[in-house]
Amino acid sequence: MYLTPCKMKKKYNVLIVDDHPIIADVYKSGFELVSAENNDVEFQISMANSCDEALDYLKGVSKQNSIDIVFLDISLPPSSDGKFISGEDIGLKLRNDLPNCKIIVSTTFNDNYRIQVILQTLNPEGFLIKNDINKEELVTSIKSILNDTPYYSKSVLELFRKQLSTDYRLDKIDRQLLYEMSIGTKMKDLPNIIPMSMAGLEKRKKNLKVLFKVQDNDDRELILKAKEKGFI
Amino acid sequence: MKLSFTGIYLLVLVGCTKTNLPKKVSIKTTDSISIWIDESKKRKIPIEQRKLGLKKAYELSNQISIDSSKLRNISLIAYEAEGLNYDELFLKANNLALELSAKIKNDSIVGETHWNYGLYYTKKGKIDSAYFHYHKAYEVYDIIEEEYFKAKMLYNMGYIQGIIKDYTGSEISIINAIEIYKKLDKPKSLYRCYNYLGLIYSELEEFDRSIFSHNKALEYLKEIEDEDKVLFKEASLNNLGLVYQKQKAYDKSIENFEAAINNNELKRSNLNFYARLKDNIAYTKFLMGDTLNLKNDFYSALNIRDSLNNISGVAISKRHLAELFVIKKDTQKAIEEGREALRLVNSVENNRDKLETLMLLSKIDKNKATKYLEEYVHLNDSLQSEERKTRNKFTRIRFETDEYIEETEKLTEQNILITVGGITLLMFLSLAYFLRVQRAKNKELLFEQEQQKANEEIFSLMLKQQSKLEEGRMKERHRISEDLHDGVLGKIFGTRLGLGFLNVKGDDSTIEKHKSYIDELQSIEKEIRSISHELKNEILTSKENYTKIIHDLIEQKSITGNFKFKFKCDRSIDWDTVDDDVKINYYRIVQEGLQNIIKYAQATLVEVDIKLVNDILNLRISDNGKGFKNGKLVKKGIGLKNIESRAKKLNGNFKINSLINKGTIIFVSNPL
Repeated sequence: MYLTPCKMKKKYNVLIVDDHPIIADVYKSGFELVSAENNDVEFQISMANSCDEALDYLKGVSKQNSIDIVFLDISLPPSSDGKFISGEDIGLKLRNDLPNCKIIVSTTFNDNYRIQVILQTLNPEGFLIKNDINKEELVTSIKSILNDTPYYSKSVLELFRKQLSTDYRLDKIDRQLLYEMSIGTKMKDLPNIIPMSMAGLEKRKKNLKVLFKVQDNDDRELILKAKEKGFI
Repeated sequence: MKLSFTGIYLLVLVGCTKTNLPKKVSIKTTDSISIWIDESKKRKIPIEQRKLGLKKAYELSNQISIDSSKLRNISLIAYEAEGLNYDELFLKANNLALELSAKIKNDSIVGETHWNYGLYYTKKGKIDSAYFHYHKAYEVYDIIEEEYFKAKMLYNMGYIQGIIKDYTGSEISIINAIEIYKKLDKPKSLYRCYNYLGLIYSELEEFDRSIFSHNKALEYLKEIEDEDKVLFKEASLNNLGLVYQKQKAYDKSIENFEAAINNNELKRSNLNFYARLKDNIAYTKFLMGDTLNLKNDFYSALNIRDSLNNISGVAISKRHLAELFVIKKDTQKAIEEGREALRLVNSVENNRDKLETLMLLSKIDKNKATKYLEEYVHLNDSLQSEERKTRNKFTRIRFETDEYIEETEKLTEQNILITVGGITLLMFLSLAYFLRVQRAKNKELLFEQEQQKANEEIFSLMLKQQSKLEEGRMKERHRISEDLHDGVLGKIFGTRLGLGFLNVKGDDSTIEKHKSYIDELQSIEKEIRSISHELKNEILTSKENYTKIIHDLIEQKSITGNFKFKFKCDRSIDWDTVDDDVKINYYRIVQEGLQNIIKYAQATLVEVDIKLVNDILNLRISDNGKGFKNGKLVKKGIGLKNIESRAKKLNGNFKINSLINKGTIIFVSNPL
């Protein structure tokens, strides 16, 4: 098979951020597979295993040597200065520093709340739930991103579907409240986590119960209902 | 003077009899004793027969065994015997009455018996004994506050004091009696008192006062409606006449005497009195110097008296005649009449008249004047010393009483002192006891409070411990969850994808197998993820702290008591907001309830149910054990009492329901 030699191969700078080297390696394999299938693209792949490494890399980025695609894990060892505690923070910095950079979030988190939050803060071009995907999907996602098509794995799509089918409009604080309750945070500790007064939180909880048609005063039921509706 | 005294003497006796009678009659009974007594009262029956009847009554009464009724009869008999001058029976009966009344402490009869003695001794002329008994009766009536009888005794005492010329003493007694009578509004008694007071003043030569008293007596007389009134008035007029006579107001004197004698009835009803008045008029005229027809007047009085065998009266008449004969210069006749008067006076032992007669004789019988005078002085001295002695005796009687009263007062004072001391001591002791009890109570309360506090501390420690434990567990679970999620899961994911990128060489089945292993890995991932989630979602898997504590408690007890249990707890209860106090008490109630079940019920199934209804926390502990008959629980054991008191402490309700062999239900509810 001959390819026209004069045609410039499109070169993408790729950064893979994941604390598991084995996963980073797999992503790399995915890119290699894509470039092997498609001669037009070429990937310059770098890897970072922690927030610090990712930040180091970003320091060296210039206009000529920008980043086109980032594979971003969410749970990462935090940066040593403590300012970046997860991949989310890295993503925000990327969005800020390199607006043209395409971000593919790849995480093991599959709870709706976290997904929702990430969607809202980062609005990534790709969103992969690690458990959802296999080799084929990984490759597909890379290809989609190259074609400027967003790619979401099935858990994320499921969430979209669920939320479209409900009328509930919960704001950020409602969601956070539900999430914290679901992970067993005590009510009395909540005002330290959510910037609201206890009374305000109680009122929100009450309203949520009315909204989800929870009988009695059962927190458990509220959380089950919220989960069912895809808010957590 | 003697005359008037005699008149009064009669009145005194009449007074006592009159007032005592109705009282006695009212006690009339129908038994034989009272028939005998009634018999003795009948005036128509000969005196000997009356005495006999009374004696029979006495003998019958003596057989009565009940002291009170015996006493009633005996005192009646004594009184009647005294009236009949039946001395022997009187002394016997009155002695017995005094003894009995003292024994059964019937003060009013003690007074009566003394009164009877007083009457008796007055009659016998033993005036010192009479005074003694009147005084005794007075004391008794004073104590039991029988005012009327007390006044009577005062009058009787005053009367006797008058006889022995203790006029001031008499005046005091009578005035005291008057004060009481005035309060009680007793005109007849007041009449007697003023009449006697008039006599006393006359003796004291306070004639104005005497006349005032007599007039006062006459005033009271108007208020009396009595058949005896007539004689009373005449007696008063007579007495007034005598006062005027002494005052040498002879006209007024005669006026009064004549007013008395003008009563046509008098001659018929009391001839002696009539004679006395006649004599008094004649003598007053004699004193005035009007000797016309006097001899006849004196003789007519003398004749009446002589016909009535009134020796004293005859003696007076003869003395007056002697005086008349002296004026008429008929010395021989005067001496004759004087000597005759002296003889008569000696025969009746009338000292008062004897003195006057002796004085007269010493004046008219010149030959024997010295002898008469000597006799006069001797008699006068002896009389005076006798009277003095008696007066002294009276004083002693009163003094002894005073001493007795003083002694009693002293004793009373002592008694009061002892009583006050005793009460103070008792109060002090009870105060000490009260304080002790109070302190013990306070201590108990304090102890209870401390216990309560300790309980709460223990409980909050327990809660803390529990929550720490829970927290630690949760942390651990979180850690495991995170590890699984971030570490293991990631690694498996990486491995799986890595495997996917491996170009497996081999036949189709090998490739197929390779793929299926990869899929298998994916499902393992899923599993791990869900495990990780479950580990993290504490609220969905583990129970609330308090509920857990209760659950643990029941579980632990169920092992001891060898029963199965069901525990239901309203999930909507936010235990964090429930008071520790409520939680502790509910915990304890459950504990006690289960303890009871273990001890008595022999249950195989126990259900504990905690529910929140309308902000009221309801706890129900039921078992299927032996139970008891409803309401027949002999006494609440300490366990049930504790449950009840705990429920009360929370302002809650406690109910227990049971049926034999159907089990028991304990129900506690408390508003939150």
